[in-house]
Amino acid sequence: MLYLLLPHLPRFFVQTVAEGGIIESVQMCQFMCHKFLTFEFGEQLNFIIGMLHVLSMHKDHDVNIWLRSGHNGSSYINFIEFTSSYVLADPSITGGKSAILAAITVALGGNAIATGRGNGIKSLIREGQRWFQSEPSLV
Amino acid sequence: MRDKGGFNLNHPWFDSELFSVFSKAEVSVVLKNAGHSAHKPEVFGDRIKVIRTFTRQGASSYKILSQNGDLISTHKADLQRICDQLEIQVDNPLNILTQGTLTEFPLRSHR
Repeated sequence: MLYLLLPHLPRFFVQTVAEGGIIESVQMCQFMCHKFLTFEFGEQLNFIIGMLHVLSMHKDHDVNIWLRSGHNGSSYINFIEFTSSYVLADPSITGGKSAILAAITVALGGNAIATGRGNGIKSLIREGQRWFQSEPSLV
Repeated sequence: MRDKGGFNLNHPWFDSELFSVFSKAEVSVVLKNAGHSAHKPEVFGDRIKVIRTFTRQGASSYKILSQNGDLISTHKADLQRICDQLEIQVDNPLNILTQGTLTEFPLRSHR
């Protein structure tokens, strides 16, 4: 509106939304620790803060499952504890923040060194859970 | 035959999706392409979609789609041209500063 009233004013004095060269959305599939994650950006400055939170907790007699979810699709069941004999955990619990940054870097032609993690771009492909540990209970 | 016990990767428990290894990943970014700095707006329209697919074998391919979803190009040089036109420098730490690059700064500075 101010630009209409004062047409001689330089464009950058008027608060407008950028028309070109901004990222609208990022979508990743089997990338890092995400099965499928879509992220829509706002039109101006975006702050992405921690998205990981415990959504629900399911307790059974034998199995305790903490379901971590949120918009980040990082492995839906992150922590399973078999109280009787096994402990199965995923140590690579990360939020979606660095994955979004890495996805932008990779999709726009950057290599894995530019993302700052992994020694090759193939190390950014998702691989199930990272490790598993069994603790047999000796009675 | 007697089961010897121990760690057996052929156990049906490991067939579940929890342990599967994926061979392919796909990342896509949608860029706004309008205004005076647009790159070939008559070809791409208001939005450019860049899809990068890479496999565990090391193959990597690009797809650059227009606003209507038509495949315009599969070359990385065209993607570089788009990034130059839209002034997106991926490897510039002033644009994308990762945690790893940030820790290198005090090490490289003179005192």
